[in-house]
Amino acid sequence: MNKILTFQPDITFNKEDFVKINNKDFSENECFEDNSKIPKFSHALHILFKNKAAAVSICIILIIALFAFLGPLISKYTYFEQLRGFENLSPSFFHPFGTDGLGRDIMVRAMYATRISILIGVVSSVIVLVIGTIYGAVSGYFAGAVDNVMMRVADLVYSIPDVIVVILLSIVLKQPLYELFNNSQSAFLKNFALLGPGVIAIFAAFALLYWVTNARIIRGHVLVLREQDYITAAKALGCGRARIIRKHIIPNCTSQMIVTTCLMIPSAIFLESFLSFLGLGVSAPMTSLGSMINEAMDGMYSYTYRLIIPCVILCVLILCLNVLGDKLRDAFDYGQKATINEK
Amino acid sequence: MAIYIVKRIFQAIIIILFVTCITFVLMNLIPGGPFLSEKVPNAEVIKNLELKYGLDKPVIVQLKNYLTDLSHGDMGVSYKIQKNRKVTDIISETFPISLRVGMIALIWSTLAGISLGCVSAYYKGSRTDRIVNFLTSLGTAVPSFVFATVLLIVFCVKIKLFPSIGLYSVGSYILPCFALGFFPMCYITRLERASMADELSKDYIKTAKAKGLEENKIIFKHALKNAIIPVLSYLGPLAAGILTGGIAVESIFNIPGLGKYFILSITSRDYPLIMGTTIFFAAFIVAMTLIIDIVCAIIDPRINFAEGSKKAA
Repeated sequence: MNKILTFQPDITFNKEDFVKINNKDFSENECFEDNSKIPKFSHALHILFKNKAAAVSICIILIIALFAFLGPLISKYTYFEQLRGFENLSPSFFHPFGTDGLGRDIMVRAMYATRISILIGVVSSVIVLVIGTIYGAVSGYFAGAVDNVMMRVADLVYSIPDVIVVILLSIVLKQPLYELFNNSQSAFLKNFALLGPGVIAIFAAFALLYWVTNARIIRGHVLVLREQDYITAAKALGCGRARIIRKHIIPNCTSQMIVTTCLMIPSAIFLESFLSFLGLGVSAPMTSLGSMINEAMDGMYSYTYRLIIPCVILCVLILCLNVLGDKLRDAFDYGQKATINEK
Repeated sequence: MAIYIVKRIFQAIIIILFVTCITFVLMNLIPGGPFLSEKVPNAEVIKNLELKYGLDKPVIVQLKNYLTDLSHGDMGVSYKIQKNRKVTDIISETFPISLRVGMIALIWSTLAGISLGCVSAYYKGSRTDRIVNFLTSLGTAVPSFVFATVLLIVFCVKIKLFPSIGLYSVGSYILPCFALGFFPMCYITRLERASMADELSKDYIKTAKAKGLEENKIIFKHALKNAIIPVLSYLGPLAAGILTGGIAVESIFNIPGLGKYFILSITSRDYPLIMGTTIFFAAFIVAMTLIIDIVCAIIDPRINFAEGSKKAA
């Protein structure tokens, strides 16, 4: 018996090798797409690049990313360096965006701000992706009572007023995290001190609250996947549950994962800028797009361009990410209409 | 149906209790108390203050006391911002202001969103549709606080058309409400356009056309009824979004609403006021979602009550 269970075949089976016998019908809530309709990955990318809006937004995102990640390497200024005697300069050749009231070059600060905003967006989305995918996959695969309980918990988390809790979290975590980072010896934690505890609070909030949408989408897909024949085959060959989820279920959710992550990035950037605008996000002297807008509010009568620059970068970035996410969803022929922006 | 409503109300109460407990415990985790300041008061004074407000007891006992008081509608008194004033008084004074601005924003954004969405779905593919589509995708990329600052610069600083501070005249309502409702308006337009276009392509519309019904009746009596449901179920999250977006917009336009007090209370660590505003915000949002869900369930007979909320679909 044991021998049979551990038997591993050396031929690998494709989906096409199995004849579909189980034509079970699902209600609309459970099943929103036929698995066979999912286009191949490269095919989806092909559709994506053929779309003008998607191609343009990819280009703009790349340009902004280059601006944010390569710019600071080229520029001779840093985000914290104060040039004495060069305060409040208007835009010129040496300082294309001028300098602020403390004599810091605004262009470099804008680069760093964009970098921080992008990083926060990507990292939060990855956190959400990991938690949401595991939760959704487990819930969907086990189905029945486990699924029921897990989804009620998700319902509960979904109804918690998110922004209120995020603001609270960022206030509460500030002091303890600050002490932790400053007292710790490890270089890894010291780097976080630079970003400030507000950012960690944002990550924590995403990990606690925002995985629900992702988990629901993945669960819906897994409910379809688990009835597929290759899962039955894997079970027959003696795969454990963990192995099936890891090797068969999750790789088949790739398209859903890509789309939800891509739609999550702009909403994370959105939230971060909102918090930083209220003065709760990234701590000085590090900056983000939201805190740049907040700083510029003080001088908006005389230095309007300081306000316009981060606003434009923020809006263009979010717009392009939104468009890209939408087009990706179309490209993957993704039936799910619910958008992440709601959350 | 009745079971569904009871279940949802029960769920809502659990959420509010949960948020209350989380807030309470979180706040007590912050090192330092509300009475510490640069000028450190006498230890005796602090002790007496703590005794007065019951802060000397263990957290669990404090939580129990707070919950008992809360069930009587008592949220304690503010420690710092408006000393010894009842939190409920502060909320009842400032919330109507937030509510008024929020309601105007909610109403105009919903009405404008639905009509724009219908127009754009009806003329799908035309120039109007493309312009609306472009503008709304632009609009969903602009956070409300960015839009509010831009409005402030253009209309208060450059053109000097509207007052920039406070709420003293009708004119001063225009900008905050417009700023607050702009993002939801764009979002609703997109939502309505998608669902209307979906409805218009269905068979029952063809049948209605085939039997010679007027266009007006087809759109307003048949298609709109079905196409409005996604917008309706978005109203719950929308109310929450407007309320929280109001926090930033209120601070930009200097409106003395509840959002401003929320931020103030947090930065000055006024425990009862933080608790009060958080619970109030949470309860309001949860209640809005609850009402909208129930209304949706009554209007749309297709909702499956056994499954709980339709949001999952």
